[in-house]
Amino acid sequence: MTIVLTGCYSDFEPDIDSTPVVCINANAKVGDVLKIFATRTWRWTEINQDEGADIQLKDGEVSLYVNGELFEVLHYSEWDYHDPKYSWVNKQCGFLSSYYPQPGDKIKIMAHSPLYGDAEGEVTVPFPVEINEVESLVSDLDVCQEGNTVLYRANVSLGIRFTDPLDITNYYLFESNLNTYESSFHDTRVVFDYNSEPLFTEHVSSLESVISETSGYTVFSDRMVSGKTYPLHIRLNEIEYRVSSENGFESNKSYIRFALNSISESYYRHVISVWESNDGINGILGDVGLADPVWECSNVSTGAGVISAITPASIKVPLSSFFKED
Amino acid sequence: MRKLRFLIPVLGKLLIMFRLICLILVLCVAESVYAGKITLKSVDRPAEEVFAEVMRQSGKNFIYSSDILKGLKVRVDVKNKSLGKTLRELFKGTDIEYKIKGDNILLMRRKKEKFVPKRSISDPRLMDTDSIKVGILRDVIVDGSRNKTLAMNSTDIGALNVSKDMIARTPVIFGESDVIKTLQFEPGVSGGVEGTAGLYVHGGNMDENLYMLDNIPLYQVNHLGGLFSAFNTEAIKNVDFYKSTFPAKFDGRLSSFMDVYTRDGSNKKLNGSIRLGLTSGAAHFEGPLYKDKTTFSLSARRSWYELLTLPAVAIANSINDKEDDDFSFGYAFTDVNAKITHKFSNRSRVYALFYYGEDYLNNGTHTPEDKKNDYYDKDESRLRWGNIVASAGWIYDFTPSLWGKVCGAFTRYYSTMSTLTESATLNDGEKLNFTSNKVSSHNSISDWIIKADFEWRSSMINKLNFGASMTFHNFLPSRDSRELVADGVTTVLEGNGMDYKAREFNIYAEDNLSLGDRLKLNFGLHYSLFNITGKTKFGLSPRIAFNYHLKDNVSIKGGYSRTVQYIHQLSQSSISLPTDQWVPVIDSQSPQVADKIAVGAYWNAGNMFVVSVEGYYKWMKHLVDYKDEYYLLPPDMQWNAVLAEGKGTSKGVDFKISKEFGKVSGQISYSLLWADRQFAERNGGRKYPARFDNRHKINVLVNWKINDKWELGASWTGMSGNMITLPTQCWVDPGLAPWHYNMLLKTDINNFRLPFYHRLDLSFTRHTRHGYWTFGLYNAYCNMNTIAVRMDYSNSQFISAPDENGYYSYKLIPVFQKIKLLPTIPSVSYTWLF
Repeated sequence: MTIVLTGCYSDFEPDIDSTPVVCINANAKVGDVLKIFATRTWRWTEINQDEGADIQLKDGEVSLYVNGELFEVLHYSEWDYHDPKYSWVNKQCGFLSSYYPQPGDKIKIMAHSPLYGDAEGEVTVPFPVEINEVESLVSDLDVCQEGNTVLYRANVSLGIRFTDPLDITNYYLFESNLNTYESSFHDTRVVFDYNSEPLFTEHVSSLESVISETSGYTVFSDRMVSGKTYPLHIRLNEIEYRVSSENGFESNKSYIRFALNSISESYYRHVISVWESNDGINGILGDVGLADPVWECSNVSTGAGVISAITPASIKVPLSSFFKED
Repeated sequence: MRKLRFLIPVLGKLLIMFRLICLILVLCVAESVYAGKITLKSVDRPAEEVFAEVMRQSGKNFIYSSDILKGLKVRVDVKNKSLGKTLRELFKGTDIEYKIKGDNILLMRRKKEKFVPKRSISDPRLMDTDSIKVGILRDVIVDGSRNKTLAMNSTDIGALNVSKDMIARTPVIFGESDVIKTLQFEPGVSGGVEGTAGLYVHGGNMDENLYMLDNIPLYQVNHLGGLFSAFNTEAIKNVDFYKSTFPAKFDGRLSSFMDVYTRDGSNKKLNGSIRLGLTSGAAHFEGPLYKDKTTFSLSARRSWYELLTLPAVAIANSINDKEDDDFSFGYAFTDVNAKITHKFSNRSRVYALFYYGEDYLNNGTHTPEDKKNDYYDKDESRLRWGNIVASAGWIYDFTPSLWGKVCGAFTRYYSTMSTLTESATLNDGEKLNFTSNKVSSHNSISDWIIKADFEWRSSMINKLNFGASMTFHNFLPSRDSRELVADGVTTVLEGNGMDYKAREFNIYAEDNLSLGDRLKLNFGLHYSLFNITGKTKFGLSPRIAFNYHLKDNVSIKGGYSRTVQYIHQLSQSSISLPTDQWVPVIDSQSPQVADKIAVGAYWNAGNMFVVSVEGYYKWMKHLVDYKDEYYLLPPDMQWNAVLAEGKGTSKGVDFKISKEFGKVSGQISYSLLWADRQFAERNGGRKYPARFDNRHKINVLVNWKINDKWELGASWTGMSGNMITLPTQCWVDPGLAPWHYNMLLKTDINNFRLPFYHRLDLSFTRHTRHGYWTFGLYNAYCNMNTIAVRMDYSNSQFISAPDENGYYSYKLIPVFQKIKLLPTIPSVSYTWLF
């Protein structure tokens, strides 16, 4: 039956008029200056990915309001951008403000283009929620001497405790990364496993858990844990941690940064919608015409773009802490 | 008693109806002394109409060649006479003679012509004689004259009776005959997505059709995502289908009513059939259990995809890398129909029926025993969904003019899904670091039903139908749970798993009145109550229709129907999935209501063709659908949090020419349809066209009986494409999600019509001594129809010309692509009759 249930594709241009509108993307991160990317939308077939097209609103104007007051009016510019993940400097273009978001600030952004019209949206910067403590349970510990170094291998189960504030609805993004900059042993490794935490899959239905890919998504709401102290279940698999025999743990100060970022509702809704669109049952069926499509969620008046906010709160856990004897 | 308090406020309104019923019952008792005799009065009425009355009073069927009755009108006036005397009176002065054989009355001309019965007429309600047609008159073509009677003489608009033969003759995908796919050839009915057994009537939704098995609701009517319906053709006797005006007996759905009558079984000898097809096999047995009194009918069907998948999985696992996990996969669907009928007398009969249908799917991966070393891994999913129906009833002719049926039933739809993921490190067989994550979900609806239906012919010109029913619903919209075991600690998260009990009470009365020879009237009322969470909702559904004969062979009809729907199915797709939930209207929600006006004109052309034109206008309120962005809410939220309430309209014209007799039979139909929806919280409050607003649709269905051995069936469908939602604009990815994709700008729902759809299906039937072969060709000229549009990169313009260094670069040219499905699909099956 599978053999006969075949299909094929053919290219065509649908006879539908579509007009570009203004798109605003801005993620207000506490600690970083606010950068606003106001562009226009484009018809899917308009832009060849290699050749690109100018979608910037170079003649546009962006007004930034903070807590109801006009903070500044911005115009298109280009600036240097240093991505912390990389050593080089990139160029970025858009609308660079001088505003540093603070928790509780209400930000409103209005963009105007003489050609494509207006767009606006707003967001409130969330308050941070600190990680109370990190509990760990080490298993499969294997310690071996290799020349003048000692190699530790283990798996670790973690309980990363936090207390959700009861008063409002909170949304979170959990992140973790290994930092080996302060180590001379760059073969230090950890495999992060988020599959044990049910909060990360609360948006996944039973049928989706059969057919869908869920990895990589670590946003969640406080719906299940509102007002409670809850340990996030994270596993660190196949840890390999090397130290010198001479200096011991002092020779390798690699650490893991666990970040529990408080995010705005618009951030959360957008990420969930991206998952639904690409991996959820609706998106999968919608792609083959068996359901209505799933839209990537926007909180901008034109339906294009996301104005979001994020307030980081993180904790550093040295790898050595898993192997040190009390 | 406290539980029945919700009835008190309406008892006053029902009192008049109860009095009427009491009066009728008194009359029944008074008239019962005349049981077994026939009372009849007719002045120049069409013979078919008078036969229908004789059939009803005598319990016999008429079998005759259609040309015998051409234009015949009969005059009879008998009171409390035997069947023989009545028939003598009936055919006095005609050249027709009769013979009573068992439950059949054979008619023939007095000339010495050899009688070759070609067609019969039958009343599906009384007919326990299919077995006779099969047993004695196997070659009899079960007629379509009932459809001619429905068209010309009844007040029903858009009504159809579908026989088992008609279902079997319709060419379909994989050769799996299917009543719903036969109905898809009716004007005004859309089949939905290519290849599936969808039924979208006059622009309505799937859950707006009430599917019944011997008058008991069946909630899940699909197997394999809708590729096949739950109705096994082998078990079917015939099917009544209503799409425009509705008898007062039916309510509870907005679009259509389909009642599938199952076979009672032969009272003469054991017979049956075994069918072997490409995708499934079916067997049917029927026969007498006790003398001429008790009969049985048993049908079973099962898919056999495992024959393909099990070896494929075994081969794949055997060549799997030793480090890899083995995987498993299995899918099957099964259904069983069983019925026992016992006839106490010609007036009294009881029956019990049982239906069970289920789909089962499992898949997973696991570390096999011989590969286990230091790690153990298991990932397993099981899905099971289906229906159970059990029903028992008593049918009794109180008098020659009063018939009644009382029955009790249980019907249940269920769906259960579970996923289990386990992993552990193994140390000498001991599991260390055991982690388990179990997700399960259940939903179901269970109904206990008691009902009584009566039909009283107070005279030749008046027929009253009335009845009542009580249904105890138990809804479990969703029960989700997640259980995590890690480091010996179990964490359980449970969603809202509340079940809801509801009571539904229905009462109806309907009168069919003939005023003179030309005018027939039908007026009825259906009253319903739905009590849930302490609140009672009610619906009053008036029905009125007329049929006026402009000439003997031309009639016009008009009618108005209101229908009220208290439960609906939540489905996120156009196919049938185990996640589909049946849920009630609760709290401040109002039941869905549809009002429909229909008119029609009918012409019986030379007793060969029936030509009909029917127009309708329907307006609906309190419709239910998902809100915009409902998918952002967690799946275990209460269902009504994601629903929007709205309204809609549909209007159109159905045109049909049918020829039901002769070597070549078939129908040509055309339908014109507009259907739209409007919800405050969907599509930004703007009106949009319904998904299956197929503006123009043409169906041609032909059956040619070439000779005694060969039969050819052909069907052609051409229609305006389905409406789909097609975004065209993109916006810049804000980079918040872990993976990055093109963001699509939201557009209006159903803003694009797919290209014109057309398809030809053929079937050839070769009759053999012991059965018949069926060869099918789905989509015979291989026009792969567009079912969707996707945004992707063109394959044809992928590689650019080499640059000066001879390097090729890859150019991604974004394009819209039509997704086309289903080429020519051949099929073959053999049915062995015994």
